[in-house]
Amino acid sequence: CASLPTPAPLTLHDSGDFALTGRIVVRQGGKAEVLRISWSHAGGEDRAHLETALGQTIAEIALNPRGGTADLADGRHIAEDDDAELARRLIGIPLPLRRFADWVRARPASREAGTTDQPLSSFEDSGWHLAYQAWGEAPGGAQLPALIEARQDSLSVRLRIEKWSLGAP
Amino acid sequence: AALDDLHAFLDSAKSARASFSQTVISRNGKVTQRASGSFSFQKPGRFRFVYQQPYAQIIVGDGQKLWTYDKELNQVTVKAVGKALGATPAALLTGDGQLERNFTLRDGGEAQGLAWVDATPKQQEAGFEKVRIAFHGGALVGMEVHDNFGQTTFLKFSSFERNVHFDAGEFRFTPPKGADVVGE
Repeated sequence: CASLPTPAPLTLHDSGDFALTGRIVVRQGGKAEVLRISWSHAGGEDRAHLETALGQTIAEIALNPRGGTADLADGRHIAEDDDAELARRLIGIPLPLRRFADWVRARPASREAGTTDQPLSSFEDSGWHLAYQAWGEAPGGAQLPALIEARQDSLSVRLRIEKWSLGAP
Repeated sequence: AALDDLHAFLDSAKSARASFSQTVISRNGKVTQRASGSFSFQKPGRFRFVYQQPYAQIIVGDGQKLWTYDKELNQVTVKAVGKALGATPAALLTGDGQLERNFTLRDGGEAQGLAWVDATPKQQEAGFEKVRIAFHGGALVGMEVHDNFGQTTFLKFSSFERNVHFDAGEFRFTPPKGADVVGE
């Protein structure tokens, strides 16, 4: 279903708002879980919903420029100003969650403004190596990532994106 | 009523096989996922959930370990089944006599022409609020899993066969070559 990497330029809505659903491998120490994830990015704020294969919500995460919060199935509420610290407390991995919205669209932070929007098959960003292993066609013909791996030393998070919706939700 | 159906089912079904359709509805009433597949179980504590649509994912409880395999992510995870199974919805079907230890069972009355049992996990951190089990004429036809965020998963079973003879491989899982295996 997901095609091999194709160099078609990205055509994203300028509003930059989007939503995606898919599955993510989350590792904590020697354990790993495959969870369903839905992520929406609107107006500079991010909301994420993690649930089991059977549909039980594990966590609801909200991120904004001032910090982030997570509400967990066991009733805990976690708040952190630093997004990587929030991720570390959630899944034991200091992922820069605020970079996620760009990572899923293959946009490195170090991108100088104005360069063409050529999709990259991999790049370094915030101390992580990003690899784009499959692409798929999103509504409106945009070629968007379908399988992404973020790696830092022995830590790795893999994301399979099943569905994109672009523009304000 | 439904409680008798549940106990009759648990006493009579040493193993079973069925197809299922799964619909997840979030607290704002939106359908967030539709999936389907098949499941089988054998007492005590062995089961196999196979998601065929919209993606390939297998969950196997072999009695000691809980395996999951996601084909597209090429990921196998494995953990001790002990407490993992205890208060999960799967335990309701394959629970070997510990149902009352992990759940409070109540007659949930009649609705939509079905007889319902409400099962509430005794453990606070079970990760879900309650499970409702539906019977029709004594046959198990579906389950609803209500999580702690107002989200509900509706499972509908079809072509339900009880006391099927399974070969030993049914409840074993061998990671495919090249898959990334993580866990105990």
